Amino acid sequence: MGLFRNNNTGDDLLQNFEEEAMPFTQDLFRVAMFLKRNRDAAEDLLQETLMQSFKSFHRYEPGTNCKAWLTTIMYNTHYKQLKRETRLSLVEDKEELIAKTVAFEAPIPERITDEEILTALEGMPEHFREIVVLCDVEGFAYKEIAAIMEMPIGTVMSRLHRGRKLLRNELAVLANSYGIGLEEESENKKKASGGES
Amino acid sequence: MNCTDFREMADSYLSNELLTETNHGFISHLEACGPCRSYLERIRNIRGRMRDAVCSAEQYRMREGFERTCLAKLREQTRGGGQSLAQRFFGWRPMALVAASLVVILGGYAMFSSFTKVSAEPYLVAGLDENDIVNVAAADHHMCAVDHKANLAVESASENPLYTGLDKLVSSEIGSQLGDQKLVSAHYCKYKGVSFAHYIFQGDRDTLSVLVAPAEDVRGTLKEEMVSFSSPDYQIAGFEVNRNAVFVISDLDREKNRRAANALTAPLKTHFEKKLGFETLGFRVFDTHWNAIG
Repeated sequence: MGLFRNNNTGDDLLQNFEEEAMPFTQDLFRVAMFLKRNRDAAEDLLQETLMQSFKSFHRYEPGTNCKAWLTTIMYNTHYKQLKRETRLSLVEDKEELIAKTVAFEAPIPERITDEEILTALEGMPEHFREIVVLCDVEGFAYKEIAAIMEMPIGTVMSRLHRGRKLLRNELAVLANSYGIGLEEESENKKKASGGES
Repeated sequence: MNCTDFREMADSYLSNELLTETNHGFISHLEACGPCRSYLERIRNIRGRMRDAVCSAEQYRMREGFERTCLAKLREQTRGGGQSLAQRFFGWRPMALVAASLVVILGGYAMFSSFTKVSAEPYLVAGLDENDIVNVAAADHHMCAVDHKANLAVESASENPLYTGLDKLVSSEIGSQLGDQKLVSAHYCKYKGVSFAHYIFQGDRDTLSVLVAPAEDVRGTLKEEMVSFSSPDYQIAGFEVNRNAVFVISDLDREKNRRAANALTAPLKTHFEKKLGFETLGFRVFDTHWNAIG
């Protein structure tokens, strides 16, 4: 149970919330932007998330990962909004279909610009991008991502694996179009297919 | 460990997600293999570059002042819409004194006028056991529809053929009573041994649940009128129809919540009669002391 329960007035609670939760607003906004792809919608989502979190703040346990707690609420708020806005049915084999296109791991280009990295990331299918962002940008552990996205940890790991490969392939395509990384590619393929050390 | 295994595990190593034993094997290979060392360096580099690119990109930065706007709204929420006229007129100290006195007087009144114990969770109805069906339903609403932690305590339940078609009926009745409430989820869930058909509605600012459970899942005495309860967080209205317990739980005001529940009584009676194939004597309402089995 949270330490903030019972004896706190609304002002105390708000002060605790300001200290514990508000430092993560920029991080949450980034996640919201990846979820909504639109600044106004991301601001709405962030605001709604903060309202919901504040309402439930007496249930937050101090000392646990506040950013993960807030992100979980953001995801739930987002899913709720999605359900309200549209009723889409998931295509079951979408992930498998995408996985088949990730046949090999491309070399890693080093002379790629930030814009190109962002373009590659933003061009990824949503359910891979979300997990790559949560893990590699926001720094959540696999277990935390599984809780945030309410999915088994095995799914998190396999999507991360595929997502990262997709991203690197995309970057390699960009790099190859500038003539970067071609030598490395043949060297790496040789090494990974036969090399033992 | 060979190079292929090393490269498969490189990302998990960078995320500190390898088991200790695997970590040892990984580091041994890292020390011995130059190309793999350089591979690891490059993926570490690309990950860092990606994090920096996202964090420094203008499109992912909050606009200036937005955090202050959010805080102001939170303050407004806490203080119920900002300073009242009386506060502005008298200043905060006398108002605080009056407020403190009121708290003492009302607190004393509450203590002496009622012996019901204060609920441990604000979504539970004080004075009722937490396994009472009313509190089981309130907790299910809270965890499943509001707090979104259904995976911690609420399990999914199997479909009940008696409830087929209820989603449309419930949605139409709630929609006609409370125009802004839209059905966002219809599913079966189970909490403390009670299997509910759970219909979640979302309004502009409120969440409402209609929970229906077969009477075999609950036990207790019945009486003849609609019963309303209040917890610090929610309004709860309950009734029993054709051996099914029905709850409407929301953060709406008491009158609206009860109106929504009233609107469901007759249509649900007709629905169950059709399903069961016989006329019944009408709907009855259970009292405050039903307990959940399990």
